[in-house]
Amino acid sequence: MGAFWRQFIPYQLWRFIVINARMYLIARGILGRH
Amino acid sequence: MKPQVVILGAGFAGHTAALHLSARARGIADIHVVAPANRFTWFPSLIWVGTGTMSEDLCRFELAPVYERLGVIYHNGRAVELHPDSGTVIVRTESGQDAAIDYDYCVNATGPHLNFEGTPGLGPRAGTTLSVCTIEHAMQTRDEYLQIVTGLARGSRRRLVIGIGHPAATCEGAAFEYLMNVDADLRRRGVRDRAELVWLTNEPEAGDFGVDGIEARKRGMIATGASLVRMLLDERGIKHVMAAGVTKVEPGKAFYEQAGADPSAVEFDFAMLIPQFRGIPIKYIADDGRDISSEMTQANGFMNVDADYTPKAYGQYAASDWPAIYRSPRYDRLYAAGIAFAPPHPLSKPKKSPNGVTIQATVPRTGMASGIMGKTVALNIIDQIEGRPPSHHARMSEIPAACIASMGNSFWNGSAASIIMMPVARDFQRFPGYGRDLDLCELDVGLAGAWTKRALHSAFMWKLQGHPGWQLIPE
Repeated sequence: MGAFWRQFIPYQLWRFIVINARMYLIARGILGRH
Repeated sequence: MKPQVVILGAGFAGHTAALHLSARARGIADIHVVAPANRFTWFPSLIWVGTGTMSEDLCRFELAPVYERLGVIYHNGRAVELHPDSGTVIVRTESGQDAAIDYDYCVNATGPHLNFEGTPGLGPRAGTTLSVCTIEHAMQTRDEYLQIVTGLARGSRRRLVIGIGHPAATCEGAAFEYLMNVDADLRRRGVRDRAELVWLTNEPEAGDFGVDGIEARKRGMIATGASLVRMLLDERGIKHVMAAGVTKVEPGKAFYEQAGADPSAVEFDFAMLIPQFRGIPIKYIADDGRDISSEMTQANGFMNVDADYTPKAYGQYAASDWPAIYRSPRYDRLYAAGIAFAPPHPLSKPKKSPNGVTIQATVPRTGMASGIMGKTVALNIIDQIEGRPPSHHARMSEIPAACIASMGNSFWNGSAASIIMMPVARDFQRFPGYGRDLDLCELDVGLAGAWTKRALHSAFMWKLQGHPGWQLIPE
């Protein structure tokens, strides 16, 4: 990913939501428990 | 009399265990915590203290008021002896007096002993290299770093070596974060062009981080930590020395052995090198007065639990080697969690220098993994108190780890690598191919990571102080 996208705020806001949601769901055991 | 649960240590594992026991078992057990210095430290942010971008006061809080509020009995001191037959721990207070505390259940969560003496000449005490492993170390590192910055601002050229100070050390992620934060800070101050940055690490390759590397599936392709870290180092003009084990340090010079190369040395004006971690030196004493420490711990001083410690070569490591419930195989009321338990083996590929020195990054036990272990142990103790066998398990080969590696602490210009591994230790039976669920793994760089790192700091400082709603924030 280019340097532009790494600092482009709308895209980074979206990534913030995705990363935190994924972390939360994994930590809660909702994702990843088989 | 209620069962006495004694937790040794108030780091991620010990303090998390205390929180969960206070919430779920206060009515059925007395909960004690033994820890020195009456403070909790949020270690992930010490890299920011070390560059002067965060005050040390934001990374710590006093334990005693928190424990008083939660109904936990706090003992300010450190465990020096454990008598597992009689269920007694000897605690030495700051004034040097010893006191005995009897326990029905004990959790060893004493964290690491920073083994600077394992590398001759290493460490702040020797006056050669610095560390960010404690608040005091990070503050000293910040002061020395700011002096270097002053010299750079006056036009001097300086070489800063950052990395790992022992062939078998761990915590490469923290050292890498510090490196990236120094780079970002020097750029912000406009002096980066006069500083030469060197990444000196025992990892077999870039992006290993002591967990045998990281991969994630992105738009159908596999992204690797190795390619990401190499790109970040190249982008920033940072030199790197991989698969290198520091064997000796003299003022201004670090000597190292390297796989596939002759022994070498690097000179420095400033060096932050993480030491090897060993178990906290606690004596284990049997009923007959015999010192059984060597039977209770591995050679590195970490406590044996329900892991498979049969020596194995890399490639024969199995997911089932990792402990499930973190209980001593010899004493069923004694547990170890977090850094204090002995891992069955490292995860990274070992390398050897031409002189026969084994260079192998050892296993990091990050805050998330340690917290999960602390909670698991707490729940298993409750099981035992209520007459059930321990039913909760959290092998490193089945738990996730999220790691946000900061590369600059700024709301607008910051950056961080967001890394999620599931599981930490590869399980090739469950996940053929890479040993991990690549659809859950994450590898991303950007401003979102910087926000996440800062948000996690605030969220966990809230949670760990036991404020309302702390249970909503998972480990």
